[in-house]
Amino acid sequence: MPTPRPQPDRAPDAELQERLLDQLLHEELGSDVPPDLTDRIMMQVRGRQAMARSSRRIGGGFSAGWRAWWLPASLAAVITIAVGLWIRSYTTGGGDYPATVAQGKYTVVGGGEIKPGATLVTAPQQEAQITLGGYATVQIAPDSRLKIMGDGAFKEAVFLEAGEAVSQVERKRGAFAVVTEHLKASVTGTKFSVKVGQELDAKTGEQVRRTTVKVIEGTVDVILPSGTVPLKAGGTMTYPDPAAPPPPGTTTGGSTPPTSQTSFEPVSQIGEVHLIGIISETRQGFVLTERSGRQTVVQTRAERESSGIRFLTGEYVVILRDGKLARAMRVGAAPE
Amino acid sequence: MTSGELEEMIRTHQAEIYRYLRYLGADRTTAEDIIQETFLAAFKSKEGSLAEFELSRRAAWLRGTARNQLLAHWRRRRQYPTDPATLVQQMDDSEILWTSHFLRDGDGFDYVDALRECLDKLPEHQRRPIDLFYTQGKSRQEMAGLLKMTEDGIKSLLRRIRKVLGACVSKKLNIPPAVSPEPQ
Repeated sequence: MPTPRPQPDRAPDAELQERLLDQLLHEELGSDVPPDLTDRIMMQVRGRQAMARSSRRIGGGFSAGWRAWWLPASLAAVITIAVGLWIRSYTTGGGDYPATVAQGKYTVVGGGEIKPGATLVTAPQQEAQITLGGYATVQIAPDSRLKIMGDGAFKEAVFLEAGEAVSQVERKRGAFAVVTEHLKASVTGTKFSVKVGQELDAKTGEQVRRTTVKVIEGTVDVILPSGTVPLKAGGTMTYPDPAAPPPPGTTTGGSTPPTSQTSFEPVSQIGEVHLIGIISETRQGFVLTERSGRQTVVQTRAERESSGIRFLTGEYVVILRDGKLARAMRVGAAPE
Repeated sequence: MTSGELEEMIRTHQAEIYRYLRYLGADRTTAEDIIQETFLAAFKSKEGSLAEFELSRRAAWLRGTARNQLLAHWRRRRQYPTDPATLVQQMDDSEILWTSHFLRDGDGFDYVDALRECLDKLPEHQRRPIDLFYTQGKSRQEMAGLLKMTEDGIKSLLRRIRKVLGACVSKKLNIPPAVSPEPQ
């Protein structure tokens, strides 16, 4: 409990009082509400801690070049995510949090309710729409597979395993992201589409899985392993870039998925398992803990030596193919 | 300090520090950057018991750090809003007003409540300019067109209304009326 102060007997300076009133009026009547910087600052702290731990773990620290790249990229990611989240504390006042609503034709994998953790599948002739937190609407195209990942506190997200989703997010209501195996498209108020699936690589003639983000309105921050790329209305980005080799830091590994003539084959049909969760290092190796609490050893210590994938602690999308680690994409820092 | 304690501290104090920095004259972006630096400094601080400080003492520590960061920011950019000596004096005065008037109940809610009551009592001819400027975000130029006044006239009008509000708030909170350093 705050201690009440003695009655002030000194008259306030008129100019200072006016300045204080000006600020309070901007807050009370206008839009200058104090931001919620908790996530931004905590990610800074965790990023520094993770970097310090990683430096110790790989013995002697990173090269100067790597450090020079990592820090700006982390800062960009931190700022991007935080900007998307600061509104939260000013929109959560009062009332129950809106439930997730689904319309159209779809199937819930394993049955059950439409809620965080549920996976929705649309058949080739089906379309569906879900509304998350009352502010993010996602149109799910035919032949798609999407998992709901939001935490019910104006931090909504979906994991698009296959197919296409067009999202429309109301401004200043909360954060929203579409995550794929390749990237995270993070927004606070915009309209954009994300498509993930196989396509023919013009150079090699092979089928390659790629994610394409297209911005219809506003700006989307596309978070890649190599850093964050802001994409404005009209902009399109495909990753991995068909015209370039994967950028440094991309943690690809394993074999190419089986070829298919179907554009967006649901992943369950090609023997892949997608996991989303926090990676931590244990005696057994690297363990991924999902939101449900389920834990999976995704890389043993022995596998680490032979694998091209090197984990940091943090939030990952991990793809297991036939039970083996195939790809991993870091999409955020870990809570302590 | 653990990261959990830091997170709790951020949630508790960030709004006040933001308000304080804006009151001192920081723009929004600068205020956000300084809040971040302030809490990172708190986390790195050798004062390991900072998280255990009494709330008001911790808030004072954070305000002091934020204020010094703001001064350093202006110094680095050579963008002092006024000459440095006056600025330091002004900041000291600002802190007095902040602690003895705004935070007189500990968290500033009394002050804000008083302001709300005073706003409700404003007559229409004073409420409209306030709504145009603060609620609708109109520029002084736009307001001048709407209210058929000059931009300078709008500036003076807003100052007068804020003064009225200040007097009303002081009266409600039993604070002596504000003293103007310059003749009006």
